[in-house]
Amino acid sequence: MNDGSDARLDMLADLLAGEGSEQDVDSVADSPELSAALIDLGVAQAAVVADLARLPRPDVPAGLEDRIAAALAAAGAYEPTARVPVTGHPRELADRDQERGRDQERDRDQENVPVSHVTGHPVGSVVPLRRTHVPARNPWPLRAAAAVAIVTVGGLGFALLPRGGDSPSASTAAGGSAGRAASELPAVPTNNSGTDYAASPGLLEAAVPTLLGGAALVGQRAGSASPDKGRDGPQAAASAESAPSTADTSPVSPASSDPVLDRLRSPDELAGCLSAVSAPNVRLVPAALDYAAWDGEPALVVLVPTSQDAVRAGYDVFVVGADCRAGKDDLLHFERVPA
Amino acid sequence: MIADDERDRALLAAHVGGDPDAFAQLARLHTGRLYAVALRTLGDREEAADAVQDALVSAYRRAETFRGDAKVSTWLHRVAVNACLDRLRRQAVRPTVPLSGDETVTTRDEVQDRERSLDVVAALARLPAEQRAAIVLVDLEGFSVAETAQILDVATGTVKSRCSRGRARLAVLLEHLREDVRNPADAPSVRPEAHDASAEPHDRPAEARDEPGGAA
Repeated sequence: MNDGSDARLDMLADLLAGEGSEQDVDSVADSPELSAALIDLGVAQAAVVADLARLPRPDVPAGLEDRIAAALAAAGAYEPTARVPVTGHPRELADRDQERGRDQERDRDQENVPVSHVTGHPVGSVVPLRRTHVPARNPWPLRAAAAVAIVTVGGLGFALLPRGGDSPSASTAAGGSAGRAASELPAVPTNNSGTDYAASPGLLEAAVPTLLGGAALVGQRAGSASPDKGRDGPQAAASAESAPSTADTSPVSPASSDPVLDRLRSPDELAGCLSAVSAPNVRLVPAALDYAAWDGEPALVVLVPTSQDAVRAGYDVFVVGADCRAGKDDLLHFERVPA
Repeated sequence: MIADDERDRALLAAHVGGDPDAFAQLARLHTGRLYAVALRTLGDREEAADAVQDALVSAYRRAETFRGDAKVSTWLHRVAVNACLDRLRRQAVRPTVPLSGDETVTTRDEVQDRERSLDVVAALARLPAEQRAAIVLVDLEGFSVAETAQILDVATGTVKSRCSRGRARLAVLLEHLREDVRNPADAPSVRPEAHDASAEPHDRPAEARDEPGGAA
């Protein structure tokens, strides 16, 4: 079609839509050829509408619903966007968050945990995500999960580590480069289990306490000598049977993990990988690492505390492939594990 | 349906009230339809999936911006269509014809139906983005003109015009499917020289007019 026929077609189409000008109406009324064209177009449009109606509805791609569920969970707890700006010294904010968490925990105990009348789940609970592979074509929502762990004030990011403000490594200034970030990575429990966490549902979640190597889980009951103590049911059983049993904060000695992951033992490489997984201007500070596997592939498991809110806290678990590096996240799986 | 909208409103209210699962339920209920709109608008499966994900995360975060003067599904579609049009603007995505590799066709009729569908989808992909979006919402998804106007944030007359112009272009592009219908583009031009034939009859500024393959 040329411009003239385009214009003519649009004019006739507008008339059929009842949106033509009086001038156009007059033009068509005065022209037998245009009148015939208008009728032809009406018939043709009806056929087009019928053709459109016959188009099959496309199937939703496998995994999209899970991927969206993961992205929503990774987006963190809902907060209205018109929130009051957070101000104050980061350390004070951390203390305030923990105090607020204790208050909420008290409130929840007193109220027997409100249950949503819509979903039936406890309001404020954190639900574990899927265990299937996360297509990471657009992982920024997953990266956003890390933002929950960061309180950003005046360009400085402070991550809340499992032991909260009492540990010397409780807050760490965010670096602008992977290299600088590498030098600032705290020593964390490092495991070399080689475990394929995709092997059975719940395996990764069950392993978290063990991977932390005794680090106190935020919100966990005081007095638990073992991270698994007090856990009942299949999770505890899975943990006892399958979870890696040792955590090592000393220099790494690869035991069962695949050598292809060795590159990620370099602090610089690890920092580059974490920068790729994280949201822009957010630095992930891991609480524990495990050189393991996912669905038959060598994989590094990175545990990051989720939240400054002690009641909702848990861990964001990023499972990255051996090719994770600065600029390429190679994210294989993500899930949020409640405390 | 009213009952569906009441359910959707309850889920959205529960989400705003702190229920961590409510929005995920809402998303599951609408993902299929949102994906269909995104795929037909963008013409690319991965782009469509990303757009739906972006839209739902955006809606999750901006739930308080839902004013309640439209159906929740209308609001979600508005967010999704905007995400699609944004992608077209940012990336100059040229819609392609998504081939359905998942389907196995065996009979001759099935083959013909499949070919016809591919022709229609290919023609749809050649429409200006905003005509395509209007047609997808009205003719494929069954939204009313008024709902579509809310989703696209334009006047109802603009929706009617975009749909009609889009159908007219499709009629020309799909003329080979119908031997017995005269090509409406063959009619003589009677437009006065000074008259801007391409202008939409309603409230769209000049820079927002449909351009082939673009998103205005």
